[in-house]
Order: sequence, then C-alpha cells, then structure tokens
Amino acid sequence: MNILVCVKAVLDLSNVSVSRGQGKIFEKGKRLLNPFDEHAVELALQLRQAAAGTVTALTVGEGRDEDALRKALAMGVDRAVFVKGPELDGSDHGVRARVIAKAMSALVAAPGGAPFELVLCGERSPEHGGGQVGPALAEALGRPQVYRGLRVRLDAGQVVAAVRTDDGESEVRVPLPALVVVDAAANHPRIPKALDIMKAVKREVRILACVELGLSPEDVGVAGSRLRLARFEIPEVKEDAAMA
Amino acid sequence: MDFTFTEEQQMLREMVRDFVNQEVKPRAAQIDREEKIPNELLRQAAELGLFGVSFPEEYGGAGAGKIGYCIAVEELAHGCNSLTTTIGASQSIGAMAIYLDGSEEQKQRYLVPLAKGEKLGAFCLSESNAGSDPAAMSTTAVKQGDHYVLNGSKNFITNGVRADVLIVFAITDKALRAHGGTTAFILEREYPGIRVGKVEDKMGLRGSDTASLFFEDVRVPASNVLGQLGKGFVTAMKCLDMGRLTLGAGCLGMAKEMLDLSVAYAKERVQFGEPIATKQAVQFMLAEMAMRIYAMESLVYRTAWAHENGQKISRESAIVKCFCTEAAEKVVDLALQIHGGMGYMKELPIERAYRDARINRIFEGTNEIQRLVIALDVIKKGRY
Repeated sequence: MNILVCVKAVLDLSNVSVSRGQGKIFEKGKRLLNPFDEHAVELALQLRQAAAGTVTALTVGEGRDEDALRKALAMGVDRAVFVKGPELDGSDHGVRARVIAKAMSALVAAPGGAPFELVLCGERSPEHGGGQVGPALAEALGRPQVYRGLRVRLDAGQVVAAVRTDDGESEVRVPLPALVVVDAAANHPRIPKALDIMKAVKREVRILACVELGLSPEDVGVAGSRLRLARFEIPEVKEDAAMA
Repeated sequence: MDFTFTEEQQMLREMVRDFVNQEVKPRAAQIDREEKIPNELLRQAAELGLFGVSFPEEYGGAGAGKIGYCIAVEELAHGCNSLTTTIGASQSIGAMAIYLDGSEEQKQRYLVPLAKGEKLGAFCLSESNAGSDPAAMSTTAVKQGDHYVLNGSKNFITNGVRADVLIVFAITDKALRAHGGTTAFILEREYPGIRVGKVEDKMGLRGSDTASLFFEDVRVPASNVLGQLGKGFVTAMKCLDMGRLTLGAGCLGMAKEMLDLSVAYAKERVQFGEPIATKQAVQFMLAEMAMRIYAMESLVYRTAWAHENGQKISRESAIVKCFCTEAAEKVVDLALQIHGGMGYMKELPIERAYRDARINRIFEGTNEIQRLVIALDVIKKGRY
C-alpha cells in the first residue's frame, strides 16, 4: 500500500509582523506544516503500520515551503517530494490539483515507481480555508473521494470510513484507489522525536520542476488559475468590536 | 556573527513547545499540588528524546548538542519547572558526568539508558555539612579487593527518591580531599546499603523530588569508579558548568512565559476605562522584563555556543547562572505585580513560578559562590 499525503506549508502566525500600509505579512521564522495536514500525515503513518507500504509527502510551492516536508519527514514519512518553482505562486486549487496529479504520474512512471492506491489530504488550511484542493484532486484523478474521514481503515481493497456529516456521522465504503480528505478530529498527530528531527533535516527531498511535469508557466500560477485574487486587504484592528 | 538558529534547532523548539502546550501545561498545577510528576508524562518526555537531547546518537541521545539542549530546557520551563528540574538533574549533571568522564563500557551500560529516559539519574555531591564547601564532604570510599565500600550521606539530592543511577562523590584520600582525594562513583539504586532518608517538603519545585540518601557499607565495583581515582572534584565542576548553563536556559524559558502572560493580561485587564497596557507604570514593568529576557537569552546562547565549540565556560556559566537566576526572579515578581491580586492566586501559574524561582539563586552553587568563581577568574585572567 503506497500512500501519498498532500501537505501545505503555512505561516507561523506567532512569528509574523503585519503591515497594513504595505498590505503585507512579513515572516520572521520558518513555515509550519499545515496543522490540518498533520492529521492526514498521522493517518497515513497509522495505515502504514497496519498494512505494509510507504508514505510519501508532497507539497507544491516555493523555497520555504520545504519546511512542511521536513516536519512530515520528522513525523516519519518515508520520502518527501517538492514540486517547486516561483511560477507556482498564486496557483488556485484547480492548478494545485492538476500539478499534484501530474507529479503523481511522474513519480509512478519513474524507475522503481509504484502507484499510490490512497491519497490523503487535510481538511483545509488555516490561512485561506478553502478546503478545495482535496476534492479538486479527486476529480483530477477520477477517483472516489471520502470527505472528512474520521475513522478510516482499509478492508479488502476498500476504504471504510466513518465520515462527518451535517448531523453526525455515517459510514462509507469506496473502492481503492481513492482519496480521503481527513477530518481534523480524526486523530491526535504525533509529536516528532528529537532524534528524528535531527535526521529529517539531513534527508533527501526530491525536487520536481513544472517543466519536468510537462507544465508550462502559462499552465500554473496566476496565469493558469481560474480564480483571481482581486484585492488583498488587512483589516484594521478595532478594539470596540463586540460579539452579538 | 550569525545568531540564527539552524533549521533543526527551530524544529526542536517547535517540537518541545508542542509537547509542553499539549501535555505539560495542562498538568503543571496538578504536579505542583500532588508533588509528583506522572510516570506517563516522564515516559512521553523520554519517548521524544528529551532526556538525551545533547548526547550523540550512539549513546542514546538526539545529537542536538549544547545549543539544542538549552533550547529544549528553555521550552520545557515554559510549562513546568518541576519537570524541567527532573530532566535537567538527570541529564545535565547526572548523565553528563558519565558522558564527560565515563569509560566506553560505562557509557554503554549507564549513559545509554539515561539518555533514552529508561532510567533516571541523580548527582549526589551536597552533604548536610558540605553545601557551598563540597571539599568538606564526609562520605568515604575505602577499597576492599575489587570493590569500594561507601559510607556516608548526601543531602538535598534532586531525583533522590526516583533515580536509578546515582553519581556519588566520596573521599578516597582524606589527606588530599578536594585536591586529588575525591572520587566519583556510579551507583545502581539496587546496591544493598542505599537508603532514602528525609524527603523534603519544599516551597517550590514541589513535583521534583528532593531527598537525603544514606550509604551504609555500599559495595561498589571498582569498575564503577567514574573518571580517574581522586579526580572526582574535577568531574563535579565540569558537570556543574553544564548544569549552571542549562539552569540559565530554564530561567529564560520561565521568564519568557511570564512576559507572555503579562502582555496578554495587560492588554485585556481594563482599569480606569482602558487596558492597563496603556499605563506607563505597567509599560515600564514590561520593559524591565523584556530587557532582562534579552540579556538572558544573549548570555545563554553565547555561552552554549562557546561550550559547543570546545571552549571552557567555568566563568561564563557562573555568569549565566548568577545573572539569569536573579533576572528570572525579578521577571516573575514583575509578572505577579502586573497581575495584581490574581497573580497571587493559585489559579494562575505565576504564583507557582514565584515559589519555584526562589531556589534558583541557591542550587547549582549559590549565587554568592558564583560571584566568587567569577571574581577569582577575573582577578587571575583579567577581562575578556
């Protein structure tokens, strides 16, 4: 069982400064592994323990986003893949899903590559909160999707999961290969061990460039996205706000 | 000069912070109240590698060095000083003695389980009549065949109740005493003749056990002499250099936690129609706290860096210990003042920190002794 976990690097909000005037957020430290994605990594590691296989963490972005992969490596994933390039900046969820699908094909086609029977995604990111990459990736891969899986197991070629619904939970079964969007209440992500942190920093991260995936600059970033960011505004901090 | 922490150091900090926020802070008041750190919490800390952060991987550690260890201690101290002290006593001075002066066989047998947190260590130097003056110790070790027979007692031993491995200092030559007549021994808790005496009822650090230990005809294999015969005092002083540095790191973490709490409270607490953070009297207190923290941080990591790079840090670790313990005490006091009546209540962690902080000026060598160490070194070698 080979599992791919899609992870995202997010800002460490405890270590940023915000300039309303410039409309910018300045980072002062490293980036974090999206806390929602940590649940997906944890589930992948638990499933690997139950059924032998490998776990690959993959992210799409630019230089500092590698920090998220290092955390995933420290938590225990087998390998890390970084689809990297400045042209990816501004990509919407649709572009990200297409890039991940292309990267998966490239990894499977590479020497020693094997199909990813299961793809796991976090529920959303704390910054944009769209939660669209998982569903868009399921669509791009033409796979069934288990949305907001709480307790997930594998049984005779199927994913069996308790999923969150509007009024509670229900159980779903889908055949593999499949994609699971992991609910933030699914598990308690492990804290990496000190020694694993020291080793994670030295481990290899496989870099993939868009051009290797057959993607031109027009296919990705703002150019390739259907979603346009019209304006970025940092709201004024007001002291007199009250919750009704 | 580069003051940037490496990627692994930043990740290590994040890891310990997560552990402290998730597992330690919610239990810290209970640890203080019940005077016991749950075994489960110690097991979790061990699993994460927090008992061997600085030691190389081949000895069961994480290989994060002195700077990494200071980072870990700093973050632990945000949550619980009792836990920090328990881990620190085992690692900084207990296991450290074996790492610095132990034989390869001793390292494999004792350091590895200590670094993995499978066993807990204690450093047994102080006696009831030998505190600031360890040369006055009366515990003796007499050679009989292939064993030494230890007799005497030790006082105020951190981890004295729980420790499995004891580093015990004893007089092997009464004529030479501190100058070639003191030897360090590794004792296993199971050796016949070791007895726990009084378990102290302390003002602070109530979750960290402190006890006296009695040694009555304890037979210790000669192979458990740690370092060279008669050189125990040198071993002790080397360990204390590390202990004093990491105590400074703990003071730094505690002080940062106090500042975080104080800033949040000052922004939230409204008096005279506005948050007290707008009042100059409170701002001045926050500034005093921030200045001390900046100085503490600079001292701790400069000294950790020097130690990491093989420099001797006896004077520097004394400066770290002396300055940081006094600065932390002032910071805690200011935090309590900013919190007003609430700061005095057990409901907030400040009251506990206030009690915990007081011992820092006394243990690991009193600040008066640190000033002597600093002054004598300055007189001998001049300034930097």
